[in-house]
Amino acid sequence: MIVVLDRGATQDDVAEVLDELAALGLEGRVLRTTERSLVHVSRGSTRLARRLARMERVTGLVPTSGPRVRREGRRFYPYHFVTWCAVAFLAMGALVALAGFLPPGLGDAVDPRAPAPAGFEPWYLRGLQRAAAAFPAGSAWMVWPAALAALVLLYLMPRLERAGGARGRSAALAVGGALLAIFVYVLLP
Amino acid sequence: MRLSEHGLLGTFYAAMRRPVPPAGRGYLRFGWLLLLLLAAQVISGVLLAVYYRPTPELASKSVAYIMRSVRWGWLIRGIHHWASFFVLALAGLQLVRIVATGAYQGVRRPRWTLGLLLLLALVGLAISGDLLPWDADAYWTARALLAEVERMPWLGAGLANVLRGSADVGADTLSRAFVLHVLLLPALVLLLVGVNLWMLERRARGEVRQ
Repeated sequence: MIVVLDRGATQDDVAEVLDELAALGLEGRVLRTTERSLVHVSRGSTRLARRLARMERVTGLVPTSGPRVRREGRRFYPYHFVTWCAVAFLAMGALVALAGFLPPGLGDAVDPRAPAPAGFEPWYLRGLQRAAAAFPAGSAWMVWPAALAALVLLYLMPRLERAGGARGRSAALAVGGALLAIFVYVLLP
Repeated sequence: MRLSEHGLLGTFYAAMRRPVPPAGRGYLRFGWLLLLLLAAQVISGVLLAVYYRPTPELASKSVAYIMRSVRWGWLIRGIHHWASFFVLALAGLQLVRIVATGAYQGVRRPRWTLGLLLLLALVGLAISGDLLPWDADAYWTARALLAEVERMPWLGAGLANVLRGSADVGADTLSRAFVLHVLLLPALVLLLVGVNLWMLERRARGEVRQ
């Protein structure tokens, strides 16, 4: 941050600004004393340095970290920390609300002689059974090699994309989209 | 800079003070949310394990006891249940995002492998967790799941026997599901998350070439 003093500021006024900076625990160095005097706040919190605006001879404060902040971003703490805490707080609130209003139920006691309860179909079983139904009768075992092939394909995506050259990105997107479509089809109720 | 030079606290402090690139803000929030939900699962899981009994006779009774008699037990179980749902949903969305943006290239390729393993471990946690209440649904899920595993070529019969533990689905199956859910898979998830964070930290410190 650069502290700009008014045109009539003297050496004493500049010294007063430096003293004020030192009192705030900041460091400043004088850039020039002709025309408008300029003091660069070279170390310390710019938030604290804003108090200099109250001084009679100070006409403006010019932030200097804009380009760096735009390029590198702001520090996680304290700038993103509050947002993150708010997101975490909301997420935990949603979790507690869901747990309170839609708690997991208690099932019936186990009776191995009774038939399987109607309508019971966990998502992972639904996926396996629906995928198995897509294969011809007697070859339902192929669901496992197919699932393994899908996993290997996912694992190899970075290599496939690199090997594909200019078309690699589109090919990877097509493969990813196809896998997602199959996944959604076998898992949706 | 090595982790050992500054210790865990020093590394954590440095990570907290590091600038977040404008393009990385959304991903950061996403990743932190996933970590938060995993932490909620670990804490609620430990609290549930205090009262849970992994035997066919007592499992469903202990779950009912947690829901009806333990103070805030219904809430802890609900949080564990819903956190598991959202962890899987977020991990799936993260996978879709990485594929859609091509964020698995270059230095991030090892983390892509870790992410896939983590997703598989999370699915394993969800499946083994479904069996633990040992009610009618859990029992029939175990039977149907083992029947599906048996269909796997070459390995299927052996793997199903190991998971079943005895001639029929019962106490041994439940104890295997318990060990998987409480010991092996959480340890694997913690290891994968830890290695992932370590890789992320090394990259952020510039120890890995882009």
